[in-house]
Amino acid sequence: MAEHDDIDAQTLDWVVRTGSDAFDDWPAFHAWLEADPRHAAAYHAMSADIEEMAASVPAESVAPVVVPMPKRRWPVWTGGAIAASLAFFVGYEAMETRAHPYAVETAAGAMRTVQLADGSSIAMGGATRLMLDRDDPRIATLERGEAMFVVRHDDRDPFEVSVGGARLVDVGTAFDVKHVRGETRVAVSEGAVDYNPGRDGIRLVKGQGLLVRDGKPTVTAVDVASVGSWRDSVLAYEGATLAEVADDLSRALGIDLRADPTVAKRPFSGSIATAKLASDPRLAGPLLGVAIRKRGGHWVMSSRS
Amino acid sequence: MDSSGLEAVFLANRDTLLRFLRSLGAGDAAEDLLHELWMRIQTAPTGPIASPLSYLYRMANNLMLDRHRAVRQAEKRDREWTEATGGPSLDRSEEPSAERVVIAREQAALAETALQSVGDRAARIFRRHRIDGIEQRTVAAEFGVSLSTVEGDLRKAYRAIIDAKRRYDEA
Repeated sequence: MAEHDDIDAQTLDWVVRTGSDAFDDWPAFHAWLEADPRHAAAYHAMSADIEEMAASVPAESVAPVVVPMPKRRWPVWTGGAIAASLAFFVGYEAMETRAHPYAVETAAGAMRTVQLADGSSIAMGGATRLMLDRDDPRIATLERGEAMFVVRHDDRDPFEVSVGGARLVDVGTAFDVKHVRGETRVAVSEGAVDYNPGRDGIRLVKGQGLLVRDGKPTVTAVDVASVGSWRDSVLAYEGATLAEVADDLSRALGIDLRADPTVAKRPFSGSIATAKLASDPRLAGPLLGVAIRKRGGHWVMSSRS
Repeated sequence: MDSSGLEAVFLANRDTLLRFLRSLGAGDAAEDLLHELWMRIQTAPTGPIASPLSYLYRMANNLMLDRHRAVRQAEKRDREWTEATGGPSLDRSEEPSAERVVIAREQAALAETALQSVGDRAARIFRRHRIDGIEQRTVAAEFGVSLSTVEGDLRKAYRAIIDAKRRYDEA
């Protein structure tokens, strides 16, 4: 029993440690596996159990952790107390600089450009939420919506975007990232981006894109000129579904437009200028080959006739 | 180091990687899996890699985890099908059965309870790493704690949900 518990505790330790991208003590892990054939079985069983349980945990509806800026309360100083307290404050300041994430959000129908301290810029489409960090301008998390990153490249400190549980690391770049309905799309218009380096290790270069659906990444070709064209109120598509188009229009126009099941999967290729649609979304109907009607509080795309 | 450099490291450590795959339970498939690894490093062009051998070890480990996951899911489907029909069949359904839905709900409740028992920070760190898929170092930075604190919290959270699952499976 004691031996069994021992293996169990060691297994847990290895599952935790090998779960970090920073883990590099593989020879020690290898030696542990070879020491006893039960170790590998225990490692796989525990990994799978944790995965299964983690998958059953519902995603939290509340926003992810935002470390709040603690309030700085200045005490009423008395004479020599300042000198005496100086050491304390040095330590306090050092603790302050670790991580200061904050959220930047746009409403549907809005656009916003964020200039980062390092000279990079991020254009955000409608209904988009980004987490940035005051102390590290080289990281961003796209939680939902679409954003175009024009990044000042630094080999020693590459810009990194987290999206849908994956990492994108810039290699000198302008790229667009979209995360809606559980799917992630990436399109590169300049330079290159690495998708999940260390795990999937896919390099996307100019003119390439990536679609991640159900955790599976597929590399696609994209038209460089139309990457991020939504910033000029033009939505460009190559074989997108109408469901995706409806979603994009909703975010761009600040309306609730849905594709009904009869047309949701129809493919669409072409460009849509969104400027004039804000006043009347029905104008997109002929171009998309559907009828757009108001139903209750939202708009619905459906089959014509 | 570009992908040709990675190939050189692969070739220099071929035997080590083969032994690693075997130690993870690859058995007779070890050579095939090593070949798959080779194909992957050729088809997935990579950026500069700081420590290529670690990178190859990780790829091999992920390959084995994927393989075990697939085998386990197939076994589970077979078992459920057999239980439902009284005999094996090739015609498997990917749709969740009513029973599977109930099990998933019960597991979700168990996991929630287990996470509540480990304290707020550990539960949040678990969620950030396992549900949101954020790398441990990034989680550490977000919470303003060290990597070893994140590891400690994850150990606590994993332990709690594994124990909950084991009690459930035995019941």
